[in-house]
Amino acid sequence: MPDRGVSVLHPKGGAKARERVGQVFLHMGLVIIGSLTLIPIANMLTMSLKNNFQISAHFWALPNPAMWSNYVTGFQAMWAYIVNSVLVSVSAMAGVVALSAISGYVFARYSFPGRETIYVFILSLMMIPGMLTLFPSFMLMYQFGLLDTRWALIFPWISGGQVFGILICRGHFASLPQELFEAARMDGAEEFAAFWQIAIPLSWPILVTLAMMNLVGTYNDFIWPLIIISTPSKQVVSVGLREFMSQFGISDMGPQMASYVIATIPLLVLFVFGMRYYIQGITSGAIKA
Amino acid sequence: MHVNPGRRRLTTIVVSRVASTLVLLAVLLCLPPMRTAADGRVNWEHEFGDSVLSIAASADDSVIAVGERDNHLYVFDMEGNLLWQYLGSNSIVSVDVSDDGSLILAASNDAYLRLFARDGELLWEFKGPRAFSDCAITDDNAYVLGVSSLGSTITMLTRDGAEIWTRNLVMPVNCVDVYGSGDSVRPVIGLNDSQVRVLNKDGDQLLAMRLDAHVLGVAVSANGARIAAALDNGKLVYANGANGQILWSYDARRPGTRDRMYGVSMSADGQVVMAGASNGNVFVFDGEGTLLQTTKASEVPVQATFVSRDGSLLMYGGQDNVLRVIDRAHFGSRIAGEQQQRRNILIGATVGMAVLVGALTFLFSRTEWGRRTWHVALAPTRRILASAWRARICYLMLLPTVVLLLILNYFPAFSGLFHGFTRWTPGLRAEWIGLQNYRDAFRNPYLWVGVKNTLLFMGAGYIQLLSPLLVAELIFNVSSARAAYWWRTVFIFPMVVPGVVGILLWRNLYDPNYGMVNKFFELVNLSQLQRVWLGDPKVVLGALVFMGFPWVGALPLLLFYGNLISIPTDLFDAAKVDGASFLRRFWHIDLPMLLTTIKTLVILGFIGGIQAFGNVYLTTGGGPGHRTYTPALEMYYQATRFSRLGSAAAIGTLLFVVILTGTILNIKYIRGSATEFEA
Repeated sequence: MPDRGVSVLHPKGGAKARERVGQVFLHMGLVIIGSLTLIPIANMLTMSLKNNFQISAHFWALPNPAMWSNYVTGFQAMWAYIVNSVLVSVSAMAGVVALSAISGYVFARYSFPGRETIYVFILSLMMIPGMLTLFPSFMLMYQFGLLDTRWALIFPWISGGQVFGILICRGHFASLPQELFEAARMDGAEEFAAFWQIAIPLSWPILVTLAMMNLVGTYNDFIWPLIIISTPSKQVVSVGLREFMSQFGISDMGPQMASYVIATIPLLVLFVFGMRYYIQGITSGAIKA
Repeated sequence: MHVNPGRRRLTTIVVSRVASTLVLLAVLLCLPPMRTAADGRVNWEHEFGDSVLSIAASADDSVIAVGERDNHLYVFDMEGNLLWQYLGSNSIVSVDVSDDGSLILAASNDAYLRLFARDGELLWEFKGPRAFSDCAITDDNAYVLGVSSLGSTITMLTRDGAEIWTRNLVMPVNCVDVYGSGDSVRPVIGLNDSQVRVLNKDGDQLLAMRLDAHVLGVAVSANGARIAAALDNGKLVYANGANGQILWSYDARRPGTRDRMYGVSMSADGQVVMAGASNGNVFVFDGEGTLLQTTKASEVPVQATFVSRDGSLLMYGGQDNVLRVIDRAHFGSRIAGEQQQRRNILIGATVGMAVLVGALTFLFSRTEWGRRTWHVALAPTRRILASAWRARICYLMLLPTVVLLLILNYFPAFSGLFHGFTRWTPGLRAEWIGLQNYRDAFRNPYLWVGVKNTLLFMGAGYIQLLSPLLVAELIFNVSSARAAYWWRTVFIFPMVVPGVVGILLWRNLYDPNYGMVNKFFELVNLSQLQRVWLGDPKVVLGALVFMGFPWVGALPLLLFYGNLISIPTDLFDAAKVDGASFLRRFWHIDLPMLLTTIKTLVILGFIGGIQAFGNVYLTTGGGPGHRTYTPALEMYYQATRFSRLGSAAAIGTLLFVVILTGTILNIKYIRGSATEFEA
C-alpha cells in the first residue's frame, strides 16, 4: 500500500478531531455496504447446511444440526464438472499466455514490414461482440466435427483470449528498458535467450495477471459451453450448476447451495494464491495498457 | 536515388494487404472438407397447421404420406406437390404406404384404420375397439396391421379390411413394423414392458428382446435382419433381428432432462437408421452405429422420421409442424464435387504461380526494360521484401496467432454478417433471402421489448456504478493503510463467486417460498409486500434491476481505486492546504482525474449491456410472458428453439452495428481515455 500522504499532513487541532469523526463515519459506511454485499454469500453458506424443513421453518436461525451430508451430495454432483472446468480452463489459459507472450514480444521488440497492419488486424477483434460470432462459431465447430468435445471449448477460448493478452503483453514488453536487451546481445545471447532469460522473468506479475483474468473468464463462461457441450460427463461447472438445479428442482435446497459453495472453491483457491498479482495488475492500470 | 517516404509506406501497406490476402486464401484452401452434419440441402419442406405425427413413402418415393395432428392425411409426390388430402375426425397418428405406392394406410385417434388408393379414394375403414397408435402394411400388400396402446392390442386385417385376428397383450403396444410376405409375414412390435417382440403370421411370439425402457418406436429392415427401437429413456437400440442380440445403442438424453427417442426408421437394408428425439435432435446412423449426421431440427419433439427404401431420402417432422425432405445422395455427390473443385483450384493456382514466376524471372533477367525496372523502379519493393525476409522469424512466431484468429474469429464474424441474409439451418445449405431476416427482426415484438429492457438495464447499470465509486472513495479516504487493505479485500472477495452462481443466488433470494426477500418481509410484518418476484409482470423488471444490490462490482471498484491511488499526492496536499472540503475536493480533483476510468466503464457497460443474456436466461428465461426479454436472449431462442440461425445472425449483426456505432460515438464525443482502452 503506497502511503497516500493523508497522514503526513499535520492538520490543525480542531481539524484533527473532525477527521477522527470523519473516519468513524467512513468505517460505518463501509461496514453497512460491506455487509449488504456479503448477504447473498452468507445466505448461501447457511442454507447449504440446512434441510428444507430447517430453511422453511427456521429461516433466520443458524443451521442446527448442520447438514454436512448436503456437501456430500453436492460434491458427488459437482466434482466431474469441476475436473472438466479446471482441465479446459487451464489448457486455454496456457495457450493464451504462451501465444500472448510470444506475439506481444514480437510486436514490442522487432520491427518488420506490416507490423502495425497485423497489430491493428488483431486488435480490431476487440470491436466484434461475442453475440455476433456465437452461432457462426457454433456452426464452424459443427463443420469441423468438434461439437460436444473439449477442443471446441479450448481452441476458441485461446483464440479469443489472446487478443487482449497481446495488447497488454506488447505494452509491457515495450516498457522494458532497451539496455537490458542490448546488454544481452553484447554477451552474444541468441534472440530467444533474451526472451526467456530477460523478458519472461521480468514479466511474471503481468503474465500471472493475464492468466488469472483468463481463468476467471473461462471458468465463468456460460453460453459457449451451453451450446457446445451436450454430454453431461464433459460439461463444465457454469452449465453443470444449472443442470443440477433443474435435476433436483426446488425440493433439495441444501445440496443445491452446497454445490454452489463447491463450485466457488476453484476460484477461491486461485485468488488465495494470486489475488495480490491480480489486484496489482488491475490497479496499476495494466489492463488499460 | 530518392524514395518518397509516403510511397514507401503505401507500398508497405499494399504488400502487407496482399500478403494477408494470400494467407487467408491459403487457409481457406487448406480447410478440411466440411463435414456437414445433416445432409445437404432440403429438397423441399412443407409447413402444416399442426404437428407432424407420422411419415411414410413408397419404395420409389413417388408417394409420400404425412399424418398430422390436426386430423389431416396429406399425400405428396416426390417434388413436394400436394396430390390430395383427407380430413378425418381425429389426429392421424400413423401412416404407411405400400412399396408400390398403390395403398396408403392411416391410423387415427378415433379408433379407425383407413386404407386409401393412390388417387385418394377411400377403399375401406375399420373401427377397432380402442384408438390405434401405429399401423403397417406388408411388402406384398396382402395384410394390414394396427396396434393400440390404449387397448394393448394388435390386430391383423386382410387388404380388404377383414379382421383376421386381434390379440390382447395386456401391456400397451406402442408401435409396429412388419417384414416378410405371404405366410412368413413377421410383425415386430414395441411395448411398454420394455420389450420388442417378433411375432408370426398368427400372432404367436417368435422372439422377445428385453430392453430398459418403454419402446416408443420400432423399425425393421426388409429381411428382418436388423431391428431398431426408440426408447423412452432417450436411447436408440439396434439389434440383430434373428437372435435379439443388441449390436449397438446410442443415448441421446441430455443431463437433467427427460429426453425421449421417437420416430425411428431405417432403409430396406438397415444400413441407414434415423431417429428423432423429444429435444428436437435428429440422428442418422449407419449400420455399424456410427453417428453419420445429427441436426437440431427445433427445440420441440421430432416425432416422425422416414428413410426411403434405398436410404437416399431422409424425411422428418414433428411439433414444429414442418416436414423436411432431404436428399442424401445429392449431398454426397456435392461434397465430392466440392473437393474435386477445390483440388482443381489448388492445382490451377500452383501451376499459375509457377508460370508467373517463370515469366517474371525471364522478364527481369533477359530483357533490357526488365533489367532497368528491376534495378530502379522496384528497388523499394525489393528492399521491403528483403527486410520481410530477414524478419521471417517474426512472421513465423506470429503465425499461430494469426491463423487461429482468421479461422476462429474472423471467419465466424464474416459468416455471421453474411448469413444474416440467408435462411440458415444446421446441416442444410444456406439460402439467400435478402433482407427478410432483418424485416422479421424489425417486426419481432420480442425484440422490441428486448430493446426497451436493454435501455432500462443499461441506464440502471450506469447509475449503479455510483456504488463502486462511493466505496472506492471511502476506502481511499481510510487513513490507516492496513484498514484500507482489509476493506479492499472484503469488497474484492465476492469476486470468487462464479458469475452463474451469483445469478442463481439472487434467483434463490427471490424465491417465493424459500427466498430471503419474502422471508424478510415476513420478519418485519410486511407480508403484504411479498411477491413472486420473478413471476409477477409488475415487479419482475424492478427485481432484475435490484439484483446484485448493493452493486459493488469488483472490477469497477478496482479500476476506480487504482485510478484514485495514481492521482499525484501533491494535488491532495494542495487541496488540504487550501482547506477545501471533501465534496469540493471530490468535484474538482477526484472526478476530473477519474474521467478516464469512468469512460472505460461506460464503454464496457455499453458493450456488456447490449449483449445481456445470462442474468435473464438464468432467472426468468424472458418471462413472465415476454416481459424480460433481451435482444441476445431472443437471438438465442431464434437459433435454438426455432433453428433459425439466419435470423439469429441478423440479430447478431444488428447488435454489432449498435455496439460499433456506440463505441465510435463514445470515443469521438467523450474524449479522453476511451481511446486508451481501445489501444
